[in-house]
Amino acid sequence: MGEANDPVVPLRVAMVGNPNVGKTSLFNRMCGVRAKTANFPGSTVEARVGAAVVGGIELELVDLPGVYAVDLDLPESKLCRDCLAGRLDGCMPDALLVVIDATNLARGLRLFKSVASAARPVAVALTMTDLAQARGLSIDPERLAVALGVPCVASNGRAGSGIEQLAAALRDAREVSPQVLAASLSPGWVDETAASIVGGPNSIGSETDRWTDRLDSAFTHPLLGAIVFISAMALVFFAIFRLAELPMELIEGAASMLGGWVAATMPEGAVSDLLVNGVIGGVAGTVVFLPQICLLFFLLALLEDTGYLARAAFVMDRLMCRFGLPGQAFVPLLSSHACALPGIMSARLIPDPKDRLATILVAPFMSCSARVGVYVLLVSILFPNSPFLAGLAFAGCYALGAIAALLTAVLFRRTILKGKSRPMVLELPPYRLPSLRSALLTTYDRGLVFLKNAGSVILAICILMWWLSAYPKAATPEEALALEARAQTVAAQVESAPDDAAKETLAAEADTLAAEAEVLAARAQQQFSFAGRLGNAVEPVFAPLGLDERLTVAVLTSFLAREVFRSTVTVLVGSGDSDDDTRVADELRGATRADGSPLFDAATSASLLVFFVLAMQCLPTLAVTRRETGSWKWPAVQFAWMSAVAYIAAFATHLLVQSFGGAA
Amino acid sequence: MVSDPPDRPPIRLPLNQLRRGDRAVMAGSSLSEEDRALLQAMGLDEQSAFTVCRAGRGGPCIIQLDATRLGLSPELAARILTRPCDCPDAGSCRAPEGDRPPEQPSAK
Repeated sequence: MGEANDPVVPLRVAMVGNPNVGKTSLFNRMCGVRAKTANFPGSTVEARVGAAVVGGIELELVDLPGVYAVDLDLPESKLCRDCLAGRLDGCMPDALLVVIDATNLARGLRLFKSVASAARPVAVALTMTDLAQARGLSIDPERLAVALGVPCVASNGRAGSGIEQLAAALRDAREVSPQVLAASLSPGWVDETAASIVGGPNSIGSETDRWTDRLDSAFTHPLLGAIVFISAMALVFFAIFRLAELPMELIEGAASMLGGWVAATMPEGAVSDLLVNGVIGGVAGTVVFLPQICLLFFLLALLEDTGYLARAAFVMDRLMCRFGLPGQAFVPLLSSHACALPGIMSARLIPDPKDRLATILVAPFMSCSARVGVYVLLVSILFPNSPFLAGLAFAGCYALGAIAALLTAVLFRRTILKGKSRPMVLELPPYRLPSLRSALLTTYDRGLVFLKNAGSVILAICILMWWLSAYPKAATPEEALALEARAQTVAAQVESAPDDAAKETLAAEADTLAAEAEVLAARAQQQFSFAGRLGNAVEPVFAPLGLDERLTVAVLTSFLAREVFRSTVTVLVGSGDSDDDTRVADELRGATRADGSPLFDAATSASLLVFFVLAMQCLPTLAVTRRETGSWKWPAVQFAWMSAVAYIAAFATHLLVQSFGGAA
Repeated sequence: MVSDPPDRPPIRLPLNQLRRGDRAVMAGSSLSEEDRALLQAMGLDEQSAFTVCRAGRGGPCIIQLDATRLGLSPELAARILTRPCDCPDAGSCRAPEGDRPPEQPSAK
């Protein structure tokens, strides 16, 4: 025994159980928000670690991924083996909590049997006892405890029942006795034990759940199931776009206010510029997607909890397997239409590591909301007088992205991600009402992971990109100085104007002159900066796509984020005002090259459009890919492949449109 | 337990050829060791009895095994051989564990 003033060492407990047995509900009930997702080195799957004090007992819980057996050749089974052997972080668990579904006692007992030999104290949590009762089964935890020789408690993470008793059982956990271990090796032990607890295996699952049958008939029907799934996803998609709108605007507004306050408070200079444009502007540009991410994970958690998502994966597998992807890949790919960041993060639904990696790599091909602004601009330039053709081109952009994603998936699964996929064998859990608490905790966890990423990798990237665009500082061009001087002169005349109308005219003229001076200064800075010089240097690379040095700079800066293209191109080519779609499109349509030919001819506009559909121009996405794959190798592959595909497709488009006379 | 009539050979059908509502017992397979180990851990091993909830018809199928429903890809279902049985529930035709073929060593 320790001294009275020794710090209390929490009991470290590893939670093991089959998938869908309510293990994570128990974990969430005990830990609440005091939990975090842990990616252990060398592991492609994750576990959650949390702290809890239940009934005065301090616990450190490790929620291992659901497994059907710990000795399978699967990443989640390996993680469990490593945890049980103390290889995860060098700490052996003090006790194991085996979570067993009362409606499927035999399967739970097989798992118990496979972990019993770990020579660690064990306790058993018997879950789903309410469902077992509904099926006419009566299971006595005390009899199970006697049969297994370890404490056994009926618990329900959703309702919160049996939690204190479970903590006490963990405190009293004991190693499985040699007698039980020896007995478990005998053939028939699982069935005999199950029979002695529930009155014989004949009674297990003998009732057909009519409601499950009816719902499954609809949800897993090849046609009706697909319609239901697409409708459900459309609702999720709509919610992500609509409900996230207000919080996104609030975040943008708050960032803008903060930036304004910093700019007003701090003396003008490099530090202020770094904070306003590098740190606040860059991080806000990523954090603005937090509402979409939270909403997506909240809705997916609810759907998963109802048991529906497994059926949806079952239905979509028929389509997705043609492209080397599992049915579960449909959700991340569809979510990527809102934003690739939540799409990539939701690829965690996919159990097979290669399938998951393939999905992550192709998800950014899907047209996200950040591309919409660029599509609108370029489609307006291409088809100014034909809303029908403009609409067709717009839809074509979405189709092109999806086709590129699916073909890339086929290619990757046959080359760099070659190998046998896990066969599609899905457990379809029983339908039930979702737990709001669990969904909120999942949302909180995912949101936190995203924010940590935004505060580290993405922040560093934003600062680097700011520096490349802001330095070295260019001298203000003489033309801009002259305009500023004229603006000041005109402004000085406002007061002495004879009437209000004249005052207004003069004030407007002063504003216009000042804005023109700002655009000229910004244009000079863009071209003089490292990013601008890089643009000029690589202009010959982009010339085959029809881009001059200004468009090359605009494309290069948009590698930070696609939406930057619009503001950069209006600064470099137009008047700098990027608010009005029609006006910007008109201005750009009238822009010319050095030889006087139109800058945005049909061939160049089309090739730019194709380039923006296919290119990887989102640093936060690369950062999230790195986080989800655990290495920089895969974001590098993603970037290189998407850029190459975009370049080749844009070049081909340029040639094709030119051959139809689109250069004029 | 199910026994085949002595005067005719046992009927064995791939799982993907069963119809909705059919009851059958898994009677063999041509699965890889990993797939067999996974299915065994999920509760589907030789002599397991189940009901077909959704027939494959070229696509995936759903079976009910005890209280669990499993969705199986067509490729997997085609490799599982079954023997029809008439017993009313899963337990009636499920052989005791001791009478089943020895468990395959799972692949690590």
